Amino acid sequence: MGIGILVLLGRKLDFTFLKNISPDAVSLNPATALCFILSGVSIFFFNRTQASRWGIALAGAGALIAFFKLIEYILGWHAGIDLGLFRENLLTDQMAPNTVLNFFLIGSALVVLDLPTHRWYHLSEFLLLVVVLTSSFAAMGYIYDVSSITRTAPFYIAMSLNTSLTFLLLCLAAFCSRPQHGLIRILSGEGLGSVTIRRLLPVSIFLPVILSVLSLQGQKAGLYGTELGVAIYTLCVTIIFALVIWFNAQLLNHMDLKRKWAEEKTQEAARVKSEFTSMVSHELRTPLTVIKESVSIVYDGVAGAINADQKDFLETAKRNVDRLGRLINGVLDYQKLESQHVEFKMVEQDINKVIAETGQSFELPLKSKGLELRLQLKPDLPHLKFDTDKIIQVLINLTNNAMKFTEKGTITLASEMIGSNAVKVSVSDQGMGIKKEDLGKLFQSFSQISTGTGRQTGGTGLGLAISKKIIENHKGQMQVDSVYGQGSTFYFILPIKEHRA
Amino acid sequence: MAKGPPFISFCRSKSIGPERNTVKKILIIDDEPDIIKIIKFRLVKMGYEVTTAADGKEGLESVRLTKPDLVLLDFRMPFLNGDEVCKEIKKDESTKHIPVMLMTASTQDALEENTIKMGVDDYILKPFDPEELINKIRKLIE
Repeated sequence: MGIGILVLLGRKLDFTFLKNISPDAVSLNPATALCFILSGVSIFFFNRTQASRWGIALAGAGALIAFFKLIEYILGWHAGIDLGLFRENLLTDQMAPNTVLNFFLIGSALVVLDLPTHRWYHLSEFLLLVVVLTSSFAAMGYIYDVSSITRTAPFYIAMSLNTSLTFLLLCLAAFCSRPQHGLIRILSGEGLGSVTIRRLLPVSIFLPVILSVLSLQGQKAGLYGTELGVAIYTLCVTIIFALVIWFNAQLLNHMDLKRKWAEEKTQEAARVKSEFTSMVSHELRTPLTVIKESVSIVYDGVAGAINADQKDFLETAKRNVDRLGRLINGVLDYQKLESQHVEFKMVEQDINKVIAETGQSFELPLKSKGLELRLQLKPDLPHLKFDTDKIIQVLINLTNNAMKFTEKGTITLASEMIGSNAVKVSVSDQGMGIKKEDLGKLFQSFSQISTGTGRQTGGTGLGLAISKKIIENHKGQMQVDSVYGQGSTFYFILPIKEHRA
Repeated sequence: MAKGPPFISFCRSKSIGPERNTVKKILIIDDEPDIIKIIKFRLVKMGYEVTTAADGKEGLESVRLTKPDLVLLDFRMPFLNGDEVCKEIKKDESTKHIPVMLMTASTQDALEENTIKMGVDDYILKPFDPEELINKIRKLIE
């Protein structure tokens, strides 16, 4: 972000000072400066918002000016845009062709930067890289004092040093304006690779430049000949790179060690948690058994007659003991699914049969609540490979939920093909539906959304989380569609496995 | 006292005979006295003769001595675990016909595996429904 502003300031300085300060070097053309302002402000806008209109407009303007200049060059005709803009006498002060090209490229790159597809972003990056290349080439020319590099042809005007450096900064700013995309992402990342590249890249860019300049200066001063110079240069580069790589390797090893240690800690924590949960659940079950059976003995009248009120309260106690039992089972189930200790007994079979059976088991309870059950099974579905008990558990859970949240209407169990290699199984109700903001929370453990009827539904808050885990273990997906006030459809999609040897 | 064993074998031979109404003996082996208390209460009310043992070792001795008609066996116990007790019962020629039902707070999957390995005749998960327990007991004992 800051770099864009920095470039802006830097370029403004260029505009006011450098134009006059360095008269002996090829100085900065006012049109060049204008284009820099356009591109810089454009990047500044890009930094602030996604695809800012102002940014695109300014970048477009820059590209347009550059485009006209480019045509000027190509046609060999002089419209004098730059001269017309500033009433100064700039006899030879033309924009260099590579500068014009660069502006055109930068402008275009910025215009396409935020177009939605990746291909455009890659194009943008490519254009910027070309700019980097041409301006580095020009900058190199100054550093090594080779005039022929800075001029694309001897009769043309060269790109000035400050122009080329500003280009490099502009490109850097343009890259940095989208730190989450493309090439720059690896630089700005948190991973080991990013750490490595942040250490190695500056060295690999600046070291050869600095060393070669030094070695060249030495040669020019007559301290040693060309061969010796190259030998010294090569040796220095080799040694320094070797050292940097060595230090870097050490750092990587250290980080790797830390990561392994953290991984072990995490695994250990997961193991302890899993053991703890299963231990607690076991320990909870014994007293629960005693409570349940004691209540039952009194309730059943085995220990003597009780009156209606007493029976009513014992009934409440029994119901809640059962709920507690379900909760413990749910926690254990979920825990095991999460730690992937569950083995699935995958058998190839007809899912419709399982759906129909589950539906049948619900016929009585649905009838007693005044609800209708409908089966919409697509005939002749290809067989799926799944764990019968687990899928029944999911179906029971979904149907139970549907029943719980529906006061009147129909509950539909359906199956259908999705494309050619997946089957969708759905449980739809005509209940109260789910608010949009609650949809995301549904599959989290212990998240019972507010139902308007309090927590009277008696759920454990784990059913959907467990169901989702089971489906995910089948390499399937679990989802929900719902219109608030009209009903919900919970469905899962199971892949069809091709079994041809 | 010396007449103990013949008396027991006399009773047993009688129970195998045509008369089915003999009092059936159920042995509960569990280290939780409360569990024993609640199961025993109901079974006694139903007319079974109930003996109890508080750990695997004591339970195994009791099985060998009294030859019950059914053993209700807890899984996690001091000295001898349920699976070891069951193995011993099934190894002994004189006791291997006695049906064993495992009662456990363990989970379904682990149990099914263990059931096969241990050779128990049936199992029930804690916390269980009284009807479920009674149904299973009836099935094993009648």
